[in-house]
Amino acid sequence: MKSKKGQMQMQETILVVFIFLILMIFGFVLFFKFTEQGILQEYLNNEKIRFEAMITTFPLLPELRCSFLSQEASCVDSYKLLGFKYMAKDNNFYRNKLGAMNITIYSLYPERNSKVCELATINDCGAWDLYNNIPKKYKSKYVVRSPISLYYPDKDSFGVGEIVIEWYN
Amino acid sequence: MKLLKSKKGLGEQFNWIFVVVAGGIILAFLVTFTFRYIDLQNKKANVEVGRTIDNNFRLLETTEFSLPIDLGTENKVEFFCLGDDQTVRVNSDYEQKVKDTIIFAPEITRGKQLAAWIYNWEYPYLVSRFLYVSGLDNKYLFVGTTPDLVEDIPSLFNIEKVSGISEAEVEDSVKTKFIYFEDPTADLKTLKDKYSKSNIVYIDQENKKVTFYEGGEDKGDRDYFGDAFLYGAIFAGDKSSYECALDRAINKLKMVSKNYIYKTTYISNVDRRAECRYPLLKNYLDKFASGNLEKGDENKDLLDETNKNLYGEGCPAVF
Repeated sequence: MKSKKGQMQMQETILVVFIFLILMIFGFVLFFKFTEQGILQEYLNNEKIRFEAMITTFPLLPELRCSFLSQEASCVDSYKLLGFKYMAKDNNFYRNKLGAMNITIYSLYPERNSKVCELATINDCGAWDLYNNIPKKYKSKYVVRSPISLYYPDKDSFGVGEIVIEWYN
Repeated sequence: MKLLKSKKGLGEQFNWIFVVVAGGIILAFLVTFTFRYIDLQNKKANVEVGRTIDNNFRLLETTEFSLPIDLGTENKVEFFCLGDDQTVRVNSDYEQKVKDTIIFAPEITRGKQLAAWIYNWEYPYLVSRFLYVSGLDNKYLFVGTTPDLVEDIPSLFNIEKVSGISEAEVEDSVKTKFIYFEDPTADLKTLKDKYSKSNIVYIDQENKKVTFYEGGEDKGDRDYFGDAFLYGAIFAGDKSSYECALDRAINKLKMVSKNYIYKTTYISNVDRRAECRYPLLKNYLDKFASGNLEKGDENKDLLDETNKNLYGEGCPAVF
């Protein structure tokens, strides 16, 4: 009788320890999953911050920025924009650097013109689709936009535009 | 009675075994948990250090000229080439690609702070921004006569000038670099004996070449194109990291020059006056666009001159 009671007690202890272990493993797994998720989120946040900063760094690229006798100015050159568009299409240099993005510049002032800029329409257009690499599948899309100063070398005049950068993740 | 006693003994034995096994399992779990927790926290800290470095690089790209980068704790920061990109790696874990700027830095830097400086590479137009990065305790020792442009290096970097190698009072370390603007051949034996771990670079301003020495051994020379590269040779870890940055810079030069070719073509279609010598400018641009840097400085000067002449003739300048 005594031995049976002891056996029962032992079985109870084993069961308690077993359940405790299961709960502990479950807790650990959950904790690490959450922490790992947090780190992944940090990675993503870093990428997001880098993307948002592009609104200030991208127009500073020598391939786009205006210069007057080798002196850099705070505007983008409309002729350089067209050159950039063709270069981005023709080779992988920019594709490797920019990844899944869509970058467009629109002219707003002195006139809104939605005609896409090509060689044939270079003097009568207002939308430069600089870079286009939209993936077929993506989880999220982030958009940043900012006003920009445009320089037209043919007219030696300035205008106001808007740069729109879309990032696909 | 005897059987009952032996059963009791067996139960006690089983109890002990059970306690040891269960305790062992719980202890193993706790140890694993502690190690994984530390590992994850380190990963998290590395991401934050990476973010700090990236934020400071961006500050340099947009507003600042030079700045110290405070990493908070002691970290190992590596700069290395991976294909066409340069990558920053923090504590052998977190990696971040550097997209547009070109970095000249020692391959491995350990410390709580980094010194960083940005400088435009204009050839003759702006091609790229060069970032020079170093640990605050990395020592740059200029031996012999130095040109004035050394004065432009921010005081943030640990720089010292000595008239001869005998005056040098530095420890033999990978963190020490000797920079010569005169032929170092006479000093090489002393350097090899006393400073075998330190790197040496000889910048030949007349022939526009930089020669790298590692452990007193001549590792060969490479060309340099303008002051931005001269500074690059000072801060690059070794010949291979200089070459990596050089290749990236030449690729960028090709791209920027191609873009100027497009611009030249568009302008020449609009302005067809005979005095606007755009085809001549295009010829010089073609050379850089194909990556041909033979007589690079000469071509750069011709480009600059032709562009200024265009402006002088009343034609729209290209850059």
